[in-house]
Amino acid sequence: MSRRTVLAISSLAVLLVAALVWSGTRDELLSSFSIDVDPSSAVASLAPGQEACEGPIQTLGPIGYITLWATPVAGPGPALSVMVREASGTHSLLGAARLPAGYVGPSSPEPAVTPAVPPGTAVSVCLRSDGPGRVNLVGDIPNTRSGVLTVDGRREQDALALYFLRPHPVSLLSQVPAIFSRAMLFRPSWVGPWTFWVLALMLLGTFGVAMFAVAQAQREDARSSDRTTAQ
Amino acid sequence: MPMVVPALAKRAAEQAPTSRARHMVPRPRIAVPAALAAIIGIVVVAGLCWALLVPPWQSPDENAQFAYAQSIAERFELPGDASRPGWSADQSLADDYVNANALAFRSSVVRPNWTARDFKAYQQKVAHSDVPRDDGGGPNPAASNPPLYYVYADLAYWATYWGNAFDRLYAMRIWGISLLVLAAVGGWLLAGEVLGRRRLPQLACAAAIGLFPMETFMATAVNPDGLQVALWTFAFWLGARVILRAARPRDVLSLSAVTAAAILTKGTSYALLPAVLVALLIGWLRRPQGQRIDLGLPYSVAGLIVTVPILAWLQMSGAAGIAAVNAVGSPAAGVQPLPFKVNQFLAYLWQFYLPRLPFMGLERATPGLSVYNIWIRTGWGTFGWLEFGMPTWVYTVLASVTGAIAAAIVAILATIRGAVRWELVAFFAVAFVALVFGLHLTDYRSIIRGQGAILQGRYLLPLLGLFGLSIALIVSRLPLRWRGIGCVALIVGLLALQVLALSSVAARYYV
Repeated sequence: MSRRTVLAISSLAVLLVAALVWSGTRDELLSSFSIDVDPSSAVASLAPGQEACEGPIQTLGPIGYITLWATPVAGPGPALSVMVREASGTHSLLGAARLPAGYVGPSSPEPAVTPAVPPGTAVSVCLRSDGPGRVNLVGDIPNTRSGVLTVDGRREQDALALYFLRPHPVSLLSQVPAIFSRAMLFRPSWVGPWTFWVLALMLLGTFGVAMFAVAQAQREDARSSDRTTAQ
Repeated sequence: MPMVVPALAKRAAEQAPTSRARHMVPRPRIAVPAALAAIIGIVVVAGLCWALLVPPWQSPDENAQFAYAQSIAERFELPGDASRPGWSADQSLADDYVNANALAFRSSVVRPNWTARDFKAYQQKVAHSDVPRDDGGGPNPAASNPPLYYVYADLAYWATYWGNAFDRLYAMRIWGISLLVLAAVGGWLLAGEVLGRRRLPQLACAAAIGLFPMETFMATAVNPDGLQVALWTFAFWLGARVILRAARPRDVLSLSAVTAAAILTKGTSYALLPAVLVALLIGWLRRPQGQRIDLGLPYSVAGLIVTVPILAWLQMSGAAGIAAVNAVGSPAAGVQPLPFKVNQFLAYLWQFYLPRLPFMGLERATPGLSVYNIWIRTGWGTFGWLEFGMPTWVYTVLASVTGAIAAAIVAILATIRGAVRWELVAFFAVAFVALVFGLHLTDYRSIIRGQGAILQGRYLLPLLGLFGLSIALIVSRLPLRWRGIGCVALIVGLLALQVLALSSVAARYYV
C-alpha cells in the first residue's frame, strides 16, 4: 500500500470514529429510570376522589415526566392529578403533574412534572382521580424498586408500573460512567466498571488493528504474487 | 479473472493419493498468518463486549437455553420432564433478582435491576444458602434442540461450577466467543479454498462473518446458533475441498462429521444434507474412473458417521417424549387448520419478497415487506428479545448494501466459466435454497395452522459463510490497488456497525 493510500484510509477511519463519537454526543436520550414493573394487568381501580400512592421509590435520575398506564372502565378516562412527594419526613410536595380527562382505551400518557424532581431522593408517587368516571391503573407484582402500593391508605398486593423520563434529553456519552457502573451489576465477581472502560478502549483500538491486518494481508499477497512471477 | 485460483484444475490430480513421493515431502508447518491473528483479536474484543454488556437472559430464549444446559450439567438428563419445574431454583432466584423475566420483550419501559444493594443481597443469599441447581429439567421450549451445543456450553458451566448463576451464565457466554472465532477461521479457510491463498479476500471473508452484528450477538449468548454457524461454515469449506480435491477420504470423513455435528446442534441443519450429498457426488465424479471404487469404504464410513448419531438422537428424544425437531406444532385452540395449497404457498412466497398483487389473498399478515423487516432488519441485527435494534437509517443503508452485494454476485456468476466453478456454485446454491425453502415451508405451515408467522432473520445465519465468501469474491474482483482500500472499508464499516449496535444495547438497558 502506498503512503498516500495509507494516509487516505487512516483519515477516513479517523473521520468515521469521529462521526461515531459525535453521534454519541447528541442529546437524544430522555429515559431516566424505571421501577421495573411490567404494565401487564390492572392492579388498582380509582373512583373519583380516590388516591393511589406508591413508594418509597429511589430516584436514580431526575424526573421530568412520568409514564403511567391507565385504562378507563367505561367511556373517556377521568382527569388524574399526579403528585411526587418526599417518601418520609414531612411528605412535602416535590413536583406535580396533571393528566386531563378524555383519554380513551388503554393509554400510557406522559404528563410533565413541574418542577422537575432531582435524583437521589426517596419519593412516593400519588395519583388522584378527579373524575368523572372510573379508571383502572396497570402494573404487576412488586419488586425491591417499586415500593408499596396503597389505595386510599389501604395496602395492595401488586405495584403500579411507572417509568420516569428526564426533563431534558441527554447524550449517550454523558451517561457512559453511569452505564458502566450499572452494567457491572449481576455479572461475574471480577467484572467492574473498569472492565467496560478497558473494553471500550480496546474496541476503539480495533480500528487500528484492522489497518494492520489489511496491510499484512496485502504484503503477503504481494509477496506470493512476486514468487509466482519469479517462477 | 477466474473465480478460483488458476491452479485449481490441476489440484485434484496433484493431490490424489497416488504418489509415493508425496509421503516424503515434510508437512508444512502450521503458522497463523498475521492478518488472521489480527482479525481473530478484533473478533475476540467484539465478542467480549457483547458477552458482558447484554444483561442476563436478554437474548432470544436464553432463559430456556440456560435451563437446558443446566439440566444436562446437573442431572445428565434432557429437559422436558412434565413432573418437574422448567427452571431450577438457582436460575429462578437469579432471574428474579435481576428482573430478567419482566424485562424480556419489555425493554422500552423496564430495565434490568440497577441496584447494587440487591446484587449484594443476592450474593450473600447464595453464599449462605444451598439453592438447588438440579431441580429444573421440566418443560422447556428449547427441548426439541439436540444436545450437542449444550454439552459444549456446559464445559464453561463446569469450569465455573463454584460460582453463582451469573458466574456460570457469563462463563458460558464468554466461551461462546470461541464459536465466533471458529466461524471466522472457517470463513478464512473457505475463501482460501475457493479463491486460492489470497489473504485480502480471506481476511474480508473472515471479517464479514466474525463481525456480523447479529452473529456476534447470538454467538455470545447461550444459544445453539453460534455453534450452528461455525459448523455450517466449516461444512462449506470441507464441501469445497471434497469437490476441488476429488473426494479425498479425510475430507469426506471430516465433512460427514461436521454435518452430523450440525444436525446434532439444531434441527434446521438437516437442510445441509442435500448440499453435502451434492458435494460427495461431484467429488466422486471428479475422481479418475479407476479410483472411484476406492471411495466405497470412506463413503460407507461417512454414511455411518452421519446416520448413527442422528438415529441415536431420534431414539433418545423419542424415549424422553420430546420432539426431535423444532416442528410446527398442533393448530392453535379453536383454529381450523387450512389445507396446504401450492398456489397459496407461491402467493405467500411472492408476498414475502414483493408487494402483494391485487388478485392475491393476504398470506402474510405482517406489515410492510417481509424481506426487509425479517431478512434485512432482524438478519443484520435486532437485539434483546428482538424488540429493538439500531437506528432506522442504519437498516436503510444495510438494505442498499445487501442489494448491491447480491447484484455484484449475480454479475460475477454470469461471467464465470468452467465446470468445476459451476460445481462449486451448485453445492453452495443447494445449501442456500434448501435452508431458505425449508424455512419458508415451515413458516407457511405455521401460518395456515393459525400459529402466525415464525421467521426470524437469525435463522439465515447458517448461510453467513456464503455471505462472507460473496464479499471475498467481490474483493478479489476489485482492481489490485483498490483491493486493500475495499478491505479496510469493509472492516472499518463492520466495526462502526458493531459500535452502533453496542451503543443501542447500552442505551436501551442502562439509561
